[in-house]
Amino acid sequence: MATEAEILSSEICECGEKNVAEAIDIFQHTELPFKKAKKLVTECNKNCCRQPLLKLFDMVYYGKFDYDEIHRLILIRNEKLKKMIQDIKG
Amino acid sequence: MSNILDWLIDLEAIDVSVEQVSDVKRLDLSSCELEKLHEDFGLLTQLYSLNLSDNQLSDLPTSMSIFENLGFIDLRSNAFERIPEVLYNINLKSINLSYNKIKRMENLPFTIRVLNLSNNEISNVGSEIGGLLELRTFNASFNHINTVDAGIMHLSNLEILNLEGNYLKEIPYCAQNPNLRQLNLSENMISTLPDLSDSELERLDISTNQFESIYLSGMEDLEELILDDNPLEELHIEEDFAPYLNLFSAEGCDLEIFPNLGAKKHITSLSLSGNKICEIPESIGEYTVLETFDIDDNEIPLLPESFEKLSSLQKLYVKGNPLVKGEEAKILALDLEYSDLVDLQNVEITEAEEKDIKAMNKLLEQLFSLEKDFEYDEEKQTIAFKMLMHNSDATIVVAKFHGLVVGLSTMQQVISTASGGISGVIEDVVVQKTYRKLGIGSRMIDYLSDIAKEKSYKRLQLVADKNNAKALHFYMKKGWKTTNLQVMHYTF
Repeated sequence: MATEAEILSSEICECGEKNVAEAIDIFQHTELPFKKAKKLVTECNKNCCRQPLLKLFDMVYYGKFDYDEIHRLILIRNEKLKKMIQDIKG
Repeated sequence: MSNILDWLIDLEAIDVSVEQVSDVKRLDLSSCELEKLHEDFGLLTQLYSLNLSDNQLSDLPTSMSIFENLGFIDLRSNAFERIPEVLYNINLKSINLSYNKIKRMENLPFTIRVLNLSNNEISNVGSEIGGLLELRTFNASFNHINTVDAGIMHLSNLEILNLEGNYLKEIPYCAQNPNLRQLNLSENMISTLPDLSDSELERLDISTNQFESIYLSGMEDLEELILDDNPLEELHIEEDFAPYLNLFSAEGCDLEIFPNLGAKKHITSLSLSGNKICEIPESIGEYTVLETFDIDDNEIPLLPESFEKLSSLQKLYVKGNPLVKGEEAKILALDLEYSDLVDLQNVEITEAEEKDIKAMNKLLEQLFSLEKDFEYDEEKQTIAFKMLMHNSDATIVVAKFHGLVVGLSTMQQVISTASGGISGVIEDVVVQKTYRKLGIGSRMIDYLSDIAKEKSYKRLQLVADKNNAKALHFYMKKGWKTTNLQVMHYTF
């Protein structure tokens, strides 16, 4: 099981090259709705890291953090991306 | 093992006053670190609702099969690798098995109406789905599903289907089911949209798929359509398409032409961010109830004259377009609740000067109009601002946009017996309407917090109007805690 510090420093968005701690900081300093706040993290229009970011956005909103849940969602996202790449390669 | 009632009392699931198992109708055993249930759990035959979420259960006792009244069971976040066999024999109406490790859909009772199997490892919605004729809501999002059996067509009562985050390459057969109202197929690998013109869908989300071209017609009941994040170059929309549509979103696609929607008089939210659109047509003026318009990150140099007719518009996202000089005036004339034209890099947080007092008074007037306890009086407020400015234990910060004061906040120090040191009292936090939701308030509070830290304050405190929900949420989000204290005042 990853520690809280490891999860905070793990990458949550490849495009925006942001880790979990940076994404939290961005969400804490914006009042924009999720779609726009997400773009501040991802700096793109893709949705590949939407699920962990949406969960993190909600956690910031309610001020209660479950880092294991974020870690789990990042792993699922990575696994899915891997599978899709494999699928494209045939 | 102790008897079942003692076991439940130990888990604080029932009160000590409960004397008979037949009195137990509802049970919340969530987050009790349970790996298995009590051997006499089957005695709780009168159970109506059972919450076993957030445990480590991997099976349920077969004795539960006599739970004739049990209608609702919550088993999310456990360690189930299979759907427990006993569920098949209970007349359940609602099952939540999300966040487990289930691989197959099996053992589901025919009575089920609401089924949540999201975040599992299911790869196939097989023929057994066709037997669940009572099913109204089915959530199988974030699994590994690549096929959905044609039996799903027979679910004539199905109203909500969520298959987001799977590996589907085709729209499932049920899209035209007579009662299906909401269909979420986002984050799949679908590239072709079948003819849905006769469907009764009210909400369709097919974002993050592989659509390059979409043809839309009919769909009389459709209210929300989300096409975001598709490599969409062509969008053919017939005149009869979705006459009552109120939300249309096609963000992050490859659209070059502004879509011509028939429901202009009904659309309240229109999102076309991140496309390659060069022109907003004059027909935009026909969107008379449009409240949110997102057209940022496109290639638009000019806004049409009819833009000024968007009288209902509250939020506008237009950043990232090569707008020519002067076009911004058309936006500022709309008196919006929010527009992203304000570049935060041009917002400076600084300590106030006497020349700022007039603008600060205007902001205080806005704030006092929201707070029932105060009445705005320019003369009194000016005196107070001057006193604060000449008090070395007080700070006034303002947010300035191109030199214009758009935000205000004050902080004064007090000696706190509770914290055994100096505390800061923050007051008068206000941001001008057009500049809200940009994080300016947050930056002002951070600025004051930094000063408080420099001065070794033990803590900060503030008072917010209890009816100002937005302000209360703002402070909560920034980590402020509410207290049990009631603020009182006495006037001389």
